[in-house]
Parts: sequence; structure tokens; C-alpha cells
Amino acid sequence: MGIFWIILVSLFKPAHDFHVSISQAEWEDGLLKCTIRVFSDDLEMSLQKDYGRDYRLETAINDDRLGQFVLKYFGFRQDGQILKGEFVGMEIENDLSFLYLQFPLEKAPSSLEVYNLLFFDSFEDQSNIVNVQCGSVLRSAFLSPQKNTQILEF
Amino acid sequence: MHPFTNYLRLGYEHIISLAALDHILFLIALMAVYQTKNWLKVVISVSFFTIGHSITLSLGALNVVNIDQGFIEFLIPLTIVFTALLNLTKFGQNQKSNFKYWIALSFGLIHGLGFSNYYDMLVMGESNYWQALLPFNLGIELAQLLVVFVMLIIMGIYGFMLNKKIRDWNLFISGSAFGLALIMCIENWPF
Repeated sequence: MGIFWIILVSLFKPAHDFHVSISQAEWEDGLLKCTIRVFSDDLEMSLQKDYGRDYRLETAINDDRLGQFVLKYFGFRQDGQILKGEFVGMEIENDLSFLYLQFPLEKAPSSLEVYNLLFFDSFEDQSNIVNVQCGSVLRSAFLSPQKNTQILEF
Repeated sequence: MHPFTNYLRLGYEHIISLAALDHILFLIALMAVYQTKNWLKVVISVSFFTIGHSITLSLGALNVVNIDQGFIEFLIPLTIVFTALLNLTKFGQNQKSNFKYWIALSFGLIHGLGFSNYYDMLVMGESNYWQALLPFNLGIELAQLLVVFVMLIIMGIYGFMLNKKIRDWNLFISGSAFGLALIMCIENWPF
């Protein structure tokens, strides 16, 4: 009976963990420019998994490996081919971190497969939203560990 | 999909997932005194609750809600303790009174403070302030109405089919909610 209460009580937490990232991408003049916004503590924790427990988020700004790290999780496919991406940089603004990427894409896409697996290995309830603007058309993907890729039609 | 749908889903799933059980506990306690025929009062109360925490969530930018998070984590279960206690009084059991709306609104303001880290994520980098905030709040409301709907059915079955009094239901729910929330208060004791 005691254990039952402990389990029940431990389910009720006033502070909700919000495991979300939101990305905006826009195609313009042969480039698909992306901003991924993530919670800084999630990003630091995820980086620590790869680069050791002492790794600090501030270090990542000047770390060449950061681009490689992000592109491992985030990107696009067209006709089954992964688009070659380029990491542009990163900004930290208190709770949030902004990751900037760009993907050369000559023609405006009619269909694009998007994937964003960031933090899926850490949080079962992680949701990654990716919005893609192409001309006047705005499409959005809702990615989760259960469904980590989605095809957007424009 | 349009982003609107996805932000709506984000809010909806946030309540339906186990992460927000304190929200659900509050709703169940809030509606425990009502007979099923007074369902409209329940829906209005819950909507006032949503309006309350939407206000504090949307005020994130003004930093008026820059209260110590540890203190908020204590205040939230305290609202449940208070609601459960109120349910035991004659005043709290009055089905005609509109007082519950104001309780729901003001306690909603407190629950919204627990969302403080959501604000930046939903607003910064969006081209329009409401673009993500509005559907997110609507998603929360939808999920809460679903919880209310299910609870009304359960309470209806309890009242009509089993021919039990809602008073006994209220005692059981309020007692359980009081116990759970009190333990949460003690665990998050800020002083």
C-alpha cells in the first residue's frame, strides 16, 4: 500500500518538463535556411552524452564538431537523397539556443522529407515541430520518437 | 499540416500526457461537487481556468511572472488542497453559485506560472506573437474539456445507474485530491 502511494505521488509534479523544439525553415533563392530553437539545458545534456560530462554549452559556439552533431539529427531528404547541409552558427539566449543551418536547393521543392531526431534518445515525450515556408506555402511537421520523419508537400 | 494544427496538438498532448497530472487533479477536484445536469457550469469553470493560465503564460514577456519557480511548485498543489477543502463546505457545494468561476480563474493564473519556460519557446522566433501561443492554449483547453467530458460520463454513471449520491462522490474525490495535493505541498515546501 505504501508503494502505491509513493508511485501515485511521484506521478504528480507541479513543474512540467516541456520537451519541445521548434524549427523554422524558409526556401529562398536556392537556399533552404533553417533555425532550430531548442532549450539550452536539453542541448547541453545531449552534447555531454557525446563529448563528456564536463562539456559546456558555451564551448559549443566555437566547436567545429557542433555542426556535425546537429546534422546527425536534423535534415531533409529529396527523392530519398539526403540534402547536404551546412552549419552556419549558434546563439545562446538564456533558456533557449538557436542553431542556424542552410541547405543548398536549387529549385523550390514540391515535396520534401524532413527529419529531426534531436533529443529522441533522451526523452520519450520529446516533440520536434518543423515549419517550412516555400513561397506563400507554409507546411509543418510534427515529429516524435514514434514518427521521426514526415513528407511535406508544397 | 499547417503549424496551427501542430501547436494545437502540442498543447493537447501536453495535458493528456502524464506530465500534467496536477492539472487534471485540479480539474477533477473543481468539478467534484457538480451533478451531471449542471454540466454547463463545469464547462464554464474549466474555461475560466484555461483563461487564467493562458493569461499568465501569455504575459511571459513582461516578466511580471518572474516568481521563484520553487515557490510556484508549492502554490500549485496548494490550490488543489484549497479546492478540495472548499468542496467540503456548504458554500463550496452550492451548485448555483458562480463563485467557482472566480476560483477557477484565479487558480488558473497560478497554474499558468508553472508554464514559464514554455513562453520563450512558443514566442521567440515566431513571426507573429499569437502564431504558436493561441493554438497551444486552445489545445490545452480542448484536452481539458475532454477530461471533463470523460469525468461527467463517469459521474453520470455513478449518479444515475448506480443511484448513488454525488455527495459521496465529492467526499471520495475531494478526500483523495486533498491527500495527494497535501503530500505535494510538503514535498515542495519552500520555507
